[in-house]
Amino acid sequence: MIQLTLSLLLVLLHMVIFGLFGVGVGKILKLDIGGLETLLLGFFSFFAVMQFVYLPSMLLKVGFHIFVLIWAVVMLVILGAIVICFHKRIGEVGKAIYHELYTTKKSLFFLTVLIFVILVLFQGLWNHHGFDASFYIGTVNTTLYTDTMYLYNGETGRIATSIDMRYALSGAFYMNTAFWCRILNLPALMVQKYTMGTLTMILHTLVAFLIGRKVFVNNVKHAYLFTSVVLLVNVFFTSSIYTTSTFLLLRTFESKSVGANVVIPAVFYIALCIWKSKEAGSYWKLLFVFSLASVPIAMSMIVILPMMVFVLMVAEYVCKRDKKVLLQGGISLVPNAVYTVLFFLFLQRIWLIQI
Amino acid sequence: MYGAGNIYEMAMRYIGNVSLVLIFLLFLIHYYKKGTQIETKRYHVIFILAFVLVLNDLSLRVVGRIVSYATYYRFFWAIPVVFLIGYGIVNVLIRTKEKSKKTVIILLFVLIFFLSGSGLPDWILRLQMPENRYHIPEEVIQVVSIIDQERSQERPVIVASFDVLLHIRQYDASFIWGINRRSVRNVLGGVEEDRLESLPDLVFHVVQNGWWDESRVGDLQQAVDELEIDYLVTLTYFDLGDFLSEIGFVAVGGTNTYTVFVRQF
Repeated sequence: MIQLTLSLLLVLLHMVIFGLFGVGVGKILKLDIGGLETLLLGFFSFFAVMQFVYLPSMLLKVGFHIFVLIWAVVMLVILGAIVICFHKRIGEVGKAIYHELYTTKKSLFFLTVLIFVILVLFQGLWNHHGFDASFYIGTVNTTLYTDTMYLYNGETGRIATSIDMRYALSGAFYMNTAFWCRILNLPALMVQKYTMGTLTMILHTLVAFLIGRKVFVNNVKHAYLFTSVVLLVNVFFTSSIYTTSTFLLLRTFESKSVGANVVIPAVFYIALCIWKSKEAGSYWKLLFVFSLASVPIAMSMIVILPMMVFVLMVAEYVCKRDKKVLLQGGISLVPNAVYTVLFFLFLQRIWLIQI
Repeated sequence: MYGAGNIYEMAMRYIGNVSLVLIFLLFLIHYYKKGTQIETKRYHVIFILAFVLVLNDLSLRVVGRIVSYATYYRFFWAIPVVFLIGYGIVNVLIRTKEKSKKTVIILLFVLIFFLSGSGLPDWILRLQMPENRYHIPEEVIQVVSIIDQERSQERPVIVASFDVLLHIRQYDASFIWGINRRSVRNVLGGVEEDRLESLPDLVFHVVQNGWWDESRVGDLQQAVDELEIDYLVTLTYFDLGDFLSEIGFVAVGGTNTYTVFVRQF
């Protein structure tokens, strides 16, 4: 019971950390964004920063406990600095979130919460997972058992001949699970399934709500109705095992589900913001952060996200004939371009890290 | 998505049942027609780029070599089907003033959704209350406990029935699979004995399906030797004790469903 409680409290801890990261990065990049957008920014910023600790650790094959130590210190320093330097902004963001969520139409609020809770319970109770879930949870568990990162095959447990970059390059998401398992002495199965599954659902609902607020011009009532309908439509857009909704409900805690149901919709949200704003500078900066974090969250985003960004950038240039758009969009393509080059070198066996 | 040779096949498999996608397309066409000049221009650019860059067989062949053909369908994730349907439905409801008309519209959408081929009814039937805090079969934990009581290896190599194999390393990463996913897929896919690809396939076929053939004892012995298998876990129902003893395995315990065999050296 204690472990289950801790796994669920870890959800709250993640949201607080995301909020703080969002405040810090928002201030540094001088972003003019709302409270909920700050929270979403924080999710992406967290993994964007984490990759700079994770990747060198993984490539240098340092012990997992060393990575835990370094990342714990880095995270504490960052969070401490944010709390000290931006404590006023933290309060402002908290109030902004409250105002953005507040509605006089309580029935719609409770309807949305009810549907959300049912879906969280559903994904927590669903246990017919396949090979991929076994692989990913096995990877986290193997990391904890062997004190290494991606030196062993997560599915079979056998030592690999070289680091498989298909999984290791985007390993930040699963190493985050392993990190918290080590810190709180929790089983990987519980944290990955319950904590990360719930977080995915929260973030998907958050993005849906933000999209609702944007398309219904800040009408919170309609945003709640939109969010409820989207969550319900997800239940029915499951006529094949390949859709985003199937991943959301049946494979919630896998990184590709986060990619499909949080990262991609977040980019769609940014596109809407850019289309509907006269001054979109802050949103292009947000897009860069989202791009920077996309591969550390899900390897599937390595080509999908830059494709979306490229299409958005070209569409905006054609419509507005503003060359600045090409620069802003082009910068957002850089992180995934770097990852694509590295991955291509790995696929061609030019870049192999032997074990 | 294995076996989809072109974009059209891929799209059809992605969609599954067409009813929700039809609603999506109806809303898309509606909002395209209603769009301002700049919005229409934007749609044109997006459609053209989507088809030129992604939704064509040439891109499938070229880009598929990097991202893998089997996962190329994930580009479809960029199409905001759920959000556009949600937006359309909410707009319809907002614009409908009479409560009776709103009710009819909601019921109509509910009907369409229930005809959409959702897996929901089947999933609800398959939901299970957790037997333990990990929400994995309790017997997997029991199997591990049996092995823990007598094992001498730090990292025992195991081949087990699929359900045990799938969950055992999620629970205890000290175990090593004696086979790999390919062998599991081959056997679960129903390959006949004379077409089993490899020795690992053979071992898993014995464990998973309770198959045994005296003439293949030598092959099986070779398989367990090469794969260095320490434990086999199979359905008790198969009653494989005598057969497995010929290759040096004896039963050390069992659960309601499974028997655990350890290799005697």
